[in-house]
Amino acid sequence: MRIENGIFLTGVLLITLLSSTILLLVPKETEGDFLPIIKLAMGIWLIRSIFVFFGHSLL
Amino acid sequence: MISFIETILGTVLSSFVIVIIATFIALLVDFLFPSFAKWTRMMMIFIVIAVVLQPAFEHLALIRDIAHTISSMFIGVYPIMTASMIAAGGAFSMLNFQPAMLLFANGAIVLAESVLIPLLTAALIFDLVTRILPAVPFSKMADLIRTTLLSSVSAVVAAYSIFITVGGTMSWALSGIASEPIKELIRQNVPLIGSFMTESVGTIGRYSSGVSVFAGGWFITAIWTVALVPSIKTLLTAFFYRWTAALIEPFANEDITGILDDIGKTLFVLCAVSFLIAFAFIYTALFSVILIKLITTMK
Repeated sequence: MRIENGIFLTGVLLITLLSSTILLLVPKETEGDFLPIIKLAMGIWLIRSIFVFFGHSLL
Repeated sequence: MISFIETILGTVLSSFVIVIIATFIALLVDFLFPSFAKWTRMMMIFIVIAVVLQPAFEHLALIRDIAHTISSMFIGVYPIMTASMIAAGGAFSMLNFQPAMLLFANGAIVLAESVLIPLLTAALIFDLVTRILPAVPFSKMADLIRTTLLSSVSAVVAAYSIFITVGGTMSWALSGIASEPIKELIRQNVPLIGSFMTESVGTIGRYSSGVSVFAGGWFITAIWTVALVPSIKTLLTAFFYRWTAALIEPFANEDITGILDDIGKTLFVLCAVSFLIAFAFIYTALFSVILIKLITTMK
C-alpha cells in the first residue's frame, strides 16, 4: 500500500474531500448528475494506482 | 498507575469533550435552521477529523516509533547474542532458546513496522473516506484490511507459541482452573481481539514463567509492565472511542458515531499489533538478562 509514500491514499482522500465540498455547493437537483463524475474520477485513480502497483504487467 | 491513567484521560478525554459539545451544538443548529443540515454534517466531520483523529494517529506513530527503535536495537544486538549463545554451548538448550526464535521475534517487528502499521493507516483513511462520501464506499476494503491484519498477527503469535512449546521445557504458572474465568471474561468483553489477547498473554506467560527461575518474579513483572504499557494505552484509547460513540449515539448524526466506532475498531487491531512488539521486546530482554546472568555466574 506504500507506493511513492502514500500517494495512493492521499489521492483517494483528496478526491473525496474535493467532491464532497463540491456536492455541498451544487443544488440538490444537480447532485445526481455530479455523482457519476466522482465515481469516474475515483475509478480512474484506482486503475492508475493498480498499474503503478503492478507495473502494467496486467495489460 | 493513577497518574498514568490520568495522562491518558487528560489527552484523550479533552478532545472527546469537544466532540460531544460540538455534536450538541450541531443538533441545536439543525433544530433552528433545518436547511443548514447538510453543512452542519460536513462541519461535524471536519471537527472530528481535526480533533479526534489526533489521538489515533498519535498512537499509530507511537507504536511505529517503538517498532522502529526495537528493530534497530535488534540489528545491533543480534550478532553479539548469537555469538555468545554459541560460546555458552549447551547452557541455553535447557531453556529452549533458539537463535531462529530471536530472528523470528524481530522479523515480526520488521513486518509490523513496514507492512502492518501502514496498512492500518490505510484502513483508517478508507473508513473516513467511506463516511465522508457514502456514495463512493471503501467499507469492504477497510474491513478486509482489518481482518487480514488480525489473522496474520494471530498466525504469527500461534507460530510463537509453537516455537516456545516445541521443546517442552516451559510451563505456564497461571494456567489451570484459577485463570480460566478471567480469560473468559476478557475474551467476551474486549471486542475483536479479546481471545487473541488472552492467547498471546498466555504465550508470553508460558515463556516467562520458565525464565523466572533465573531472573526472579519481580524482574519479570517489571519487563512485562514496560513492554505492555503501549498496548494497554492503545487499548484504553480504543475503548474511549467506543464509549464516546455510545454516549453521543442518541443525539448525534449517524456518521459521527460511525467514524468514532471505526477508529475504535482500528485501534483494537493496532493493540493486537503492539502485542507482537511487546512479545519480541520481552523475549529479547529476558534473553539478554539470562545471558548476562550466565556469564557472571560462570566466571
